Amino acid sequence: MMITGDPQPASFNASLGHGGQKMSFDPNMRVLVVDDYRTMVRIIRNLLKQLGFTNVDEASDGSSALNMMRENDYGLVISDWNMEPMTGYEFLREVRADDELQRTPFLMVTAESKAENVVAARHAGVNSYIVKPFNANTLRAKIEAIFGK
Amino acid sequence: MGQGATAPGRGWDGSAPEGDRSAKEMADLVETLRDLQITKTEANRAANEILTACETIFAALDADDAKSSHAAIENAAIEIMTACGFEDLIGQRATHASKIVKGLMAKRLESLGSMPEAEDSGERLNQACVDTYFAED
Repeated sequence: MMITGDPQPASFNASLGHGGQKMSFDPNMRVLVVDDYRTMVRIIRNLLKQLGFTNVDEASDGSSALNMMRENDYGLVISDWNMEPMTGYEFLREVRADDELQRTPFLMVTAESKAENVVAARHAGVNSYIVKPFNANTLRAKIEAIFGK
Repeated sequence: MGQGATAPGRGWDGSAPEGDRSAKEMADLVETLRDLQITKTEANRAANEILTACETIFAALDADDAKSSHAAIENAAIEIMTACGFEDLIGQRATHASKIVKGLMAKRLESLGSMPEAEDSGERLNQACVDTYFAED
């Protein structure tokens, strides 16, 4: 059975950049992108911008992301798996174990596609899982699914 | 030197001594590492150039001046095409590194006599499989 966080309520339909499509989430929500590979952070940040998100922060590993989550209110976390010193999986478990943070929607975006790890992430409470390489449509579909379009 | 005797420092079959073979293998491994480093650097450089060009295009699409926007987009498209040349460069490096590793493996296999069993690293799932799994309740 899937353990999910409780996504924030959709406040209004946001414009989707140049495509003019509509999505049901608040584009002003704060998003945290966690990846130790700067290029991937930049790609995700640009894709999020095209999806209408303008308030995007970044961290390079789980422990610094966890600290940022304790200081700021994030509506969505997008995290890689393979990072040091704290992996994305350990980060996810920490988030789900924290009373204050456990309801934050968590999307794993990773090259880690071993079946046992996908199962582990789902059991740990990840909301959705994207296998790299991915495209903008996949990212959009997963975010829409998390926010219950 | 009598019949059947080996040259000083050589193996029974006249091959290079162990020390020479190790030095050659180490040099091959260093060369492979250099190839991998260049591959990583080139892929990173190309990715950054492509991202910068994409950001230029996004900015140009939001600009008011259609003429300068058109020129900026055209230049960015050319930069993307040029950056894609990295595939040729890293392809050559990867082929070179692959040849070296295959050569080292062949030498090792000769001495081992058989191929050791690779450790099972687990089944990999594609996005469709992951989606199916997450859709199950």
